[in-house]
Order: sequence, then structure tokens, then C-alpha cells
Amino acid sequence: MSGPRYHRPKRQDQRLVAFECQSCGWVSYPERKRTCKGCSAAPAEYEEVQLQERGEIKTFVVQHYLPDDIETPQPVAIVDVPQVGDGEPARIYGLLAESELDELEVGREVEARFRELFDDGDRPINSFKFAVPRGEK
Amino acid sequence: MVAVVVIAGCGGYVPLYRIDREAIAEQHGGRGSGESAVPGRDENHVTMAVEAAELAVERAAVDELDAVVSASITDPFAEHGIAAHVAYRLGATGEVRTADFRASGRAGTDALAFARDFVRARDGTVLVVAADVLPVEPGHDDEPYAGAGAGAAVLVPDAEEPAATITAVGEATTGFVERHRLHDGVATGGDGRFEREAGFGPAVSAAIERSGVDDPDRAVVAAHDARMASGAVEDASHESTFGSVGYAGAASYYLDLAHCLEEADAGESVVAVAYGPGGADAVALETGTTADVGLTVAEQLDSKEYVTYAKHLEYRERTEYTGVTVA
Repeated sequence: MSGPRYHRPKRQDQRLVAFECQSCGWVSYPERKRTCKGCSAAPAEYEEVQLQERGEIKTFVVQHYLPDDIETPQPVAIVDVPQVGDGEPARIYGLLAESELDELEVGREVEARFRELFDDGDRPINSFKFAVPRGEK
Repeated sequence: MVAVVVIAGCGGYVPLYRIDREAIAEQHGGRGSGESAVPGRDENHVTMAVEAAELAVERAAVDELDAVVSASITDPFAEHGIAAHVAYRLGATGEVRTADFRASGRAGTDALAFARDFVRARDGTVLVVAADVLPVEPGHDDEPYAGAGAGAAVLVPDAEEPAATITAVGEATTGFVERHRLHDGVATGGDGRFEREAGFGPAVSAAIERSGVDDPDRAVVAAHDARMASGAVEDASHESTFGSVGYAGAASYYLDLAHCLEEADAGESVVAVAYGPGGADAVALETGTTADVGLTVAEQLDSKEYVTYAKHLEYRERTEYTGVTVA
């Protein structure tokens, strides 16, 4: 698909729409990969699925040296985000927001929070980060 | 035409971070009491509006929106808007009316009155959302009170257990302006006493009288000056987040309203007033039941982290990407 770079993934970015391989059930997010990483089907046949706005940290690392518009230290994590309904979770690489390092651990439940990821000139590009639930802070 | 309009759900969003007003006084002299909300570095008007909107929609338990209306006095964009982006995030695209109200602290009630008229005329469901981040200038008189936050309400013709019923809206357009502000600037306050006597007082009292409210149990009065606001409705319990959030522009109205509806028992009478350049509005309400969903404003006020004076300035500024610095 053509079009401005940040228009293309808008549904994935803002509505957490993902793509489930119809051969093996692996979920592609945010891109719709031509080749399925689960079963190598190429081109893979996908159906759109809706992800939940929560997930579980599978692993994480703390970045200390990043471009200026990202505050450091910045924890980044691999988060398993379940589908609404049945099916495999999407495995997402996500930034963590408003989370102290001592609050993070593998297996921790985090919630998706709508935040400004970066900007395209003056225009903010909003999508999801993950955070320890506010009610547990 | 629908006669009565109800608020099916209402919710507020207070950012996690706070600046202690004492920390500002330490920098510039004087004394400070209370604290003000500071947005996260990765928060903007749309993201905060979405936080409040999602809570209000969930509490309202509505499936579809026919209109999304926003109010803000600090949206940095001349062309961009808030309403359409909140609508997209919530899946309310297509045949959906949007509108963005601006330019006065009264924008919150401008939006609410528009939404009420829309519901009455088209029997539809309308989300009203407000979001603001007040700009600061180090050492300016308003700096300790520059707040941030968002609030939202969903208006429908009827609901089984509404959060509140809107019984009337009293309008008072006076054209009076004392406090004013240029884009990207801090406010010029003018003469506070003159504003109270010639602007705020006449507009607010006329609006309340036209709303038909008599001796309300609770009052919300959103204005840039908390002391001025607190004396507006005698013998009513004033619900205000000013001491913990600061002045959050149009969002203050919805934060205070959400806080009021969450705290009130069913069947109480409320007058909710917004004042800004040009006049005031007073919305008369009868409280219902707020769904026990998500965090209340009071819970969000308790859930906080203090930031340093430097972070308070930094977090309010948009960060411009300048690439990786080569050491």
C-alpha cells in the first residue's frame, strides 16, 4: 500500500488491530508480514484480529542511550498481548511509560496506554506504550 | 424532540506527575501551597482526551457515538483538531459529527450546550471531551497554578442509571474580557478585582439565575481564579480540583464535574458553572449513579509522583527531535 509513512499503520497504532495467520495462528503486529514467522507460509493468508489493551511482560531491558526525544532510562519490553477472544497473543516490542524499574519483572501484567511515541515534524504520532496499572502504583 | 438529556457517563483524567507549589516558590520566591498536575513528556492533548473519553464511554456503556465534541483553550494546533482524533481512536468514524470549541474557559460549557442541543435535535449519543495543558513562563504569577488534565461526558436522551440528568442550561454572554492570552503565551491577568466585580460576578449570577437552580447541594465553578470561583455559589459544597491540579482550562470543568458526580449521592442538585472571556454558563443537574468503573478523580489525585522544578518545565514543552548527539 502506498501513502504517507505514518498513515499506513494507523489502525494498528491506534486501534490495536493485528493479523492472524490462517495456517498456524501466529499473530503479526504491527506489520502484516508477507512471510509468516510461525509456519513460513508465503504469502501468508491473514485475518484481522483485535488485541486487548493489556499484556504480560515476557522480557525487558533498560535503554540508557537513545535519541533526545525519548527520556532515559527507558525500559523497553517484549509484551504478549492477548486477542479479544481466542487465539495466540501478539508478541509486541513496546516502550514502557510511567513505570519505575523496581516495578518491572518478567510476568508482570501491564496495561496499554495511549501516548505520543514520536513526532513527524510538528505532528505528534500517537500509539500505545505499556505501563504498570495506575491503580497499583 | 427529546426533552430531557442525561449524562450517561462521566470521567476525568489527571496525569501522574505533580509539581509542589513550594518547589516553584523556592525558585522564584514567595510561598506556595498545594500542587499542580504536570503532563508526562509523552502526553499531549489528544492522548489525555482519549484517556478521559475512554473512561466516560465505558461508564456510559454506549456502543456507538453520533458526535464527538472537544473543548480546549491550549491546543497548540491552529489546524489539526482534537475531536476527530479522539473519534478515530474510539472507532467513531464515518457518519459522525465532530466539533472543536476554543478560545475561552467557557469552551467546556459551549461544547456541553452544543452536545445537549444535538441530542435533543437528533436523538443521538454525543461524547464531549476537554483537554488542556496550561503553558508556563518561569516566574510568572500563574506558574504555580498551571494545570493539566482532561475530562469527558457522554450525553444521551435517556439511560437506565444515568450519572446525572441535565435539567437546564443558563447562558450569560456578556462580551466582557479581562484575562486574555495569545497563542503560545501566558495569560495577561489584568485587574483581578475589576474582573470579579464587572465580569465574573454579573455573568455567573445571571447564568445561575437563568438555569433556574435554587439552593443547590453542590456547586462546580470552573475559572482561572480559585478564590473568585469559591464565592460564587453560597451555601453549596464547592467541588474543585484546583488545589491538586491547578487551572486546567476547559478540562477543569469536566474534572470538577466528574469529581462532583463521583462523590455525590443520587438525587442531589448541582449547578456546574464555567466562566471565561465573553461570559459564563450554568448547567443545572440532578445527580444519579456513576458506574464503578476505572479510577475516580479522587483516586487519581492520590496516585501521583512529584517532579522537580526542571522536569515541570521540561514536560510541558514539546520536544523537538534533533538527532543523536555525537560526543
